[in-house]
Amino acid sequence: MQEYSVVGKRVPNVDSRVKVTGEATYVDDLVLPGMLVGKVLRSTVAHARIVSIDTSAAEKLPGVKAVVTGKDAPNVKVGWLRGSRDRLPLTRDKVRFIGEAIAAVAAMDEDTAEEALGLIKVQYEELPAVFDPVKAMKDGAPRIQDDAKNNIALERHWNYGDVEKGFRESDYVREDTFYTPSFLCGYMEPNAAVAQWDANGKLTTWVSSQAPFFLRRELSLLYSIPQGKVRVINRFVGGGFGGKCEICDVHVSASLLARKAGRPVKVVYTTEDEFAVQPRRIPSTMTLKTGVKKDGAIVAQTSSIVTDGGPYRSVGGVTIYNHGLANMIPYRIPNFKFDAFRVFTNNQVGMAKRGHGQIQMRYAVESQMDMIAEALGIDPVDIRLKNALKPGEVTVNGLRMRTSGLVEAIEGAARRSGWKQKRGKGRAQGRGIGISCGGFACGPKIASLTDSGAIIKVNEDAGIVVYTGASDIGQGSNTVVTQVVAEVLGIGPEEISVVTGDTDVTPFEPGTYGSRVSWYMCNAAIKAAEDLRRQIVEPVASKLEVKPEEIVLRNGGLYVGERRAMSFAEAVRAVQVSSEKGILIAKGTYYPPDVEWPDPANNYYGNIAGGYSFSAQIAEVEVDRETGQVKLLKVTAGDDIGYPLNEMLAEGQAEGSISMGQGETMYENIIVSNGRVMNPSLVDYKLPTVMDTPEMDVTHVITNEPGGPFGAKEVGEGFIVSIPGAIANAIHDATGVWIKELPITPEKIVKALEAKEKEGKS
Amino acid sequence: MRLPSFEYLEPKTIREACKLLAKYGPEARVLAGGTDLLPKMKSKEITPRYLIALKSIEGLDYIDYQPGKGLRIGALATLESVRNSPVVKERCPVLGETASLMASTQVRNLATVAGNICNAVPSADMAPPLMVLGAKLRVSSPGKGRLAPIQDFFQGPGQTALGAGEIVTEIVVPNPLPKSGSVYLKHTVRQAMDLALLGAATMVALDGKGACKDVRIALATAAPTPIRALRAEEVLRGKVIDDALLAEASAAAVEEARPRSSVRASESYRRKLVGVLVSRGIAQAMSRARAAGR
Ligand SMILES: Cc1cc2nc3c(=O)[nH]c(=O)nc-3n(C[C@H](O)[C@H](O)[C@H](O)COP(=O)(O)OP(=O)(O)OC[C@H]3O[C@@H](n4cnc5c(N)ncnc54)[C@H](O)[C@@H]3O)c2cc1C
Repeated sequence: MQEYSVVGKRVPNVDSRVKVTGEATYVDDLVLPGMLVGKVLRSTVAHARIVSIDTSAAEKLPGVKAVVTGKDAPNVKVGWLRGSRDRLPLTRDKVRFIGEAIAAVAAMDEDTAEEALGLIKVQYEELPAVFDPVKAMKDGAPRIQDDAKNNIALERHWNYGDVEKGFRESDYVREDTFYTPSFLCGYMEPNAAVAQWDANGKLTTWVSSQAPFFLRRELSLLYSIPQGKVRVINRFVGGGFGGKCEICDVHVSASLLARKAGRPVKVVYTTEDEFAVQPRRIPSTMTLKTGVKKDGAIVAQTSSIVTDGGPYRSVGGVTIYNHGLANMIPYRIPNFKFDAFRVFTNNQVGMAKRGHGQIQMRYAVESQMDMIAEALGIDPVDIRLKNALKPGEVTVNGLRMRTSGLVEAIEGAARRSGWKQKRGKGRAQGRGIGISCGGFACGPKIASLTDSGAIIKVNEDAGIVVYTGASDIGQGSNTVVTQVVAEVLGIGPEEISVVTGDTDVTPFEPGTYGSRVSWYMCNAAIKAAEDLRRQIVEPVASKLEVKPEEIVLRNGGLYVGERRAMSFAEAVRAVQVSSEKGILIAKGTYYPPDVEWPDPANNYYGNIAGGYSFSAQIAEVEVDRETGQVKLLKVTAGDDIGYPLNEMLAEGQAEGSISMGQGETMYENIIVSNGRVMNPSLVDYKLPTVMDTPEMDVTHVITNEPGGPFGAKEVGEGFIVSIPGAIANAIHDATGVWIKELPITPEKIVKALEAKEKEGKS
Repeated sequence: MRLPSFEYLEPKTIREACKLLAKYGPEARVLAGGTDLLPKMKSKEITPRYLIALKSIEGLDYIDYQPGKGLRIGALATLESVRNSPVVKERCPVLGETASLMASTQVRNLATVAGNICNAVPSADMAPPLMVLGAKLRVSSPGKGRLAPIQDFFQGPGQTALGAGEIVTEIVVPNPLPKSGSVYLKHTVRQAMDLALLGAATMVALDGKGACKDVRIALATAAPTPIRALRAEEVLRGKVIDDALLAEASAAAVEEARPRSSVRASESYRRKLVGVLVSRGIAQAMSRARAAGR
């Protein structure tokens, strides 16, 4: 493993100190002079025409300063991408799901605002609703959006090779259908916004966002004002996991109310708001047909999915594209056909969550992989080794694997977990062990502008300030950027401070999603640091009468060979006082050189990212056959994250992924009945606790991805996608039953065991 | 969600508290730890105008044992103090074990045993063990007090046998029977911070020959209130318990349980759990009884 002086080290998160002392402030902590409190009124019916909204009683309530409805908002639709702007920020004529924002109130205090909401009278004329996406696609189903026949919001079809021929040439073919429900992103800080308009018509809004620049764009479009008149400020962000990428009614209601009241307004979601409108993981029904040779080699696969997107397009085609992407990584599939639908229903809106669109498909593929292995009598580890993508391979849809440590990751995890001794031997004791693999694109290209930029300025005392647009939502981007810049400049990370989270100040950055930040932003910051190094080294070299290439920056100094010529600070000082180039400002921008937008005219072919991470995880469980209770005992995993920029943060991502994946596999589920969330509390929506957390053993395979910053790939999502399959397969090893629907609850296990027993008897 | 406004009353004595409760009737509620009450008020399920705090009355948080009187748990004794109490551990370990299975440390530091009983939900974890131990509730009122068997206390979901102006001031747990053992088994999806999908408390007392001298079985979340499984007890009482009898008893419990389906679990799964937990619970209580000296 290559050694660097700062990169790869366990540098503590730069935000930790202020977070643990409570000094870090979040949106709800912000208080502005004259600020009002806003609350949002939500639809109580799933599909209806709004006949009338009577706000007069609310307006008369003492303490109420503004009431807004859809009519107060510009008649402009917002969304995440150009193709998905189909949503009025406050609905006008129709409601399409329970929880949709109808009106908002700003008052002197929260109690008054809440009371005022109760005084708003909405008269609905209910319309037939549809909650099952398959039924929604049938002729005659209630139509949810005027522009979508059969409620098909979006569809994607790929066809590579010849799947029918592939199935004919296969020795074994099977088809299974899997289902994954909707999951909460489950961040700690609720979505929130404070908005203020100044006398020049400039909107400033303090938010908790994964993508402040997207938010700025949408607000500028909504209010028809230039982006320069919208300033989005991110404070510390208490988690996101995909749920804080989009503009939502918290941002719109705060800014509308602030405009109408002429005073700053704060809106903070309650837990109930979060359950009503938090963008959540999209529910997915996936039918997989796979053909393999006797030795387990995949010959052909068809993957057909129907996803329940709720009544708006939201993140659009990305989710369904990602399902197909997850089919393509990490196994070789020579013939592949993909048919995917995002369907409108009157359920809540489906969006992105960590492992976006991919964790669902990995669960399906990995479960079926074990069914195939069992039918053919192949060890699950061996069938994965057989199909694993190797360095240099190009998938049928054009993804180029420059590096892949998957084989080593599988072998290492199998060895360390004692796979050979345990697999297939624990059923009598209720013990099971299962394996699953995955991978992830490092920052897929999903929008037209996905570049990153970084600016560095140098203080008079040679301290370094880095400006990036990246949102550190807890993952540690503010920390790794200090590491990569320090490494290039040969100084300590403590010499570097980072400025982020203000669209008026930093360069553009799309956002913290799609596992792109370290790859794009660090590459931009490295370029900026290299620019700065040049600006310092060139004048100093001529003074020292050496060539610039002869000067090496390390240990806080400039070295010529083994000789320390001067300290970094002395060099900076020398440049600052010597010439017209004294004000040191450097910049870097980055866009991966060989990445393509998947081409709709050509089967969505294209290398969507500069690199791909891999993971292999082995889960061990203990199952109580009588109650169905599952204990996740241990997860042994290997990953290929290229090179860990910060070992401590990489561990944090892996461990957090295991825990989050465990929750989705074993406990979590937003239960929706006729459009109503039946478990809108953290009592009945069960996130894993620390008492449920297994022992974890994670080891990296170092592959030094050529295009990655210091060889790094992504670490945030490739890990989580392989957890559900590992647990499901371990449960099968322990019990002999397959559960083809998440979450795998004790009740489902007991039912499956009972059914199996009956089958055995008859 | 916001807490609706209310008036906070701070009586200094139990008598005063009972009087206030009698005076304001259904408009008032007694406040102990508030871990059940305040969430219900936030969701507007109930909106009392007066909260009568017990915290202002001194000396209600005791856990005390006296040979003649048994174990006494004051109305303000918290779950956490019961969990950590040496006398509970010595006299009725099942109560401390049950407290350990409830909520989280933060909630247990507020929540009271009496509040858990008076809240009277089907899933109240403290109810089954107190039922198998034959606990009684000391009830004060503006008039004469009384000692109410916990057996007859639960009248429906959230409904108790408390009359107007009545407050539970302590829970009295008699000395366990000689050569007896009790356990509480709680089935949850998660391993912490979870409500019981099913709870089963069992008490078995053995005679000199190892036969079942007495037995009590109580269940949480198996009916609209915590219940005793009396028919299952009947199967076991006076007999030498073997596997066949255990199966018969748990089948009886499955039959007399009246669980319902909810988003948390289906009726049939809960019934299945009744059988499993009763049979496991009896077996574990027996081995405790065998190990018990007296
Ligand atoms: C996060 C969380 C987790 C939880 N986990 C569990 C769990 O695992 N198992 C479980 O069983 N419960 C659980 N609970 C529920 C609750 O904590 C317990 O029921 C607790 O014991 C209630 O006690 P309290 O003192 O808070 O009662 P309070 O909320 O103060 O009162 C509850 C009810 O009883 C009445 N009352 C209280 N004391 C008296 C009295 N002395 N006389 C007459 N009436 C009285 C009140 O008026 C009210 O109606 C949980 C609650 C939360 C918030």
